[in-house]
Amino acid sequence: MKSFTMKALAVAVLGLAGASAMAACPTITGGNATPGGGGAWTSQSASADTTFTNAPTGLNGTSCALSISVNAGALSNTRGFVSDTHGPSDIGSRYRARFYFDISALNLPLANNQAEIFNAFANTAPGAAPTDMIQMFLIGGTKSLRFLVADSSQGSFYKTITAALPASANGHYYVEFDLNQGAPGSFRYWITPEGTASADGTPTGTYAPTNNGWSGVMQANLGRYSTTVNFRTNNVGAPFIVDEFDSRRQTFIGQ
Amino acid sequence: MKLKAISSALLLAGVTFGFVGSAFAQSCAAGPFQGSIPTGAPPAGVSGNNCNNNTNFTKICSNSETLGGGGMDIYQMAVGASNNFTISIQSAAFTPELGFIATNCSSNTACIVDATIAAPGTVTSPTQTGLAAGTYFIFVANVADGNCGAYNLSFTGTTPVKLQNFSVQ
Repeated sequence: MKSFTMKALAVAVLGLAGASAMAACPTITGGNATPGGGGAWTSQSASADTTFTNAPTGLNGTSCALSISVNAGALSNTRGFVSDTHGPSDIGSRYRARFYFDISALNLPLANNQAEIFNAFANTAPGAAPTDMIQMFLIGGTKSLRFLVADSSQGSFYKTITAALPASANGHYYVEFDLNQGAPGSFRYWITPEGTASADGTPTGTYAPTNNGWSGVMQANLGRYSTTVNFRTNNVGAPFIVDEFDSRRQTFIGQ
Repeated sequence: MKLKAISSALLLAGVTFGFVGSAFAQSCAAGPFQGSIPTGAPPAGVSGNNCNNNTNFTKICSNSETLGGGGMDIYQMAVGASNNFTISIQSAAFTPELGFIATNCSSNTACIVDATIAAPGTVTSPTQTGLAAGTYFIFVANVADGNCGAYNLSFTGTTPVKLQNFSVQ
């Protein structure tokens, strides 16, 4: 199967074979910017009440990552995310993405501690449906990822899938999904602790949405936004870290 | 860190302001504007009530801000070539969220201004200057909770505006 890597703009690739780790990490600063995330992303949006910066170390063995923290007194629209915008030739009926995230510093005692960490949306949607095709939320209590998957067979236009995070010694996780449009289409996802192998044929979960009415993913946002007040109150200064985002059309990405 | 990104331009082809019925779900197609603010002298304060308006929108600002659900008003605004202004929303009924976007009236569009406050009161945008002349949109919303209600929208500065053809729904 042909692999179509949508775009690969390595920001800071350290530890290349035989090379010393001299490459610099991108400098990530707050505010709105185009391009964003130190240069590799189409844009970024970070409010003044969010600390949006480089993490001390990366995830999955890298040296750099994006760190996003709530500041004291943060408002309901506090946000920090990078955006990956696709041109017309990049939009198709299948979208696969993967990233790593670190919740080790977060305090998530109850299920009302929630934050959106990823969404991918289309240019158009069927009828009165919103344009989001996939949304991903971090949920407290029994720490989980909650997917809202576009599905016109649902009255709300979205199928809710909540998947508990597996045990992780360091709070680092890998998540990947494969969204294929159709009637029915398919949605498969993988969630493992960082370093635990995953395989295309053994997803953590699957679902068959009716999602052929959306026009295909035209933008993805990755970061932390749409937070609940309890998330903000409990996580002042606590970094949420993301790294190693990759998106493709066809092939499994994996750990 | 490897952050892989699409670098191509925003996909706007085929998207208009959507004055006709279409599949542009979270666009202004399904909800009329609460006012139209052309270029001219600054207007006096504008009063409105956003309850139950434009509820086809569930998000704004690149689909990153989740609306409370009580309703959102939308104003179309013409900005001239020379501009230097602020926008304010005052409400005692809800915690105002001020969104300000360019060109394409959609939840997908990135916000130039995405501002709120901690409780009902007055939120004011940073000074807008150096904007390209054209059509912009103001969202009078709430992302703190589901409340809605009466508000006053006002401007300071050299551009905009003069209010015309205003109606409250």
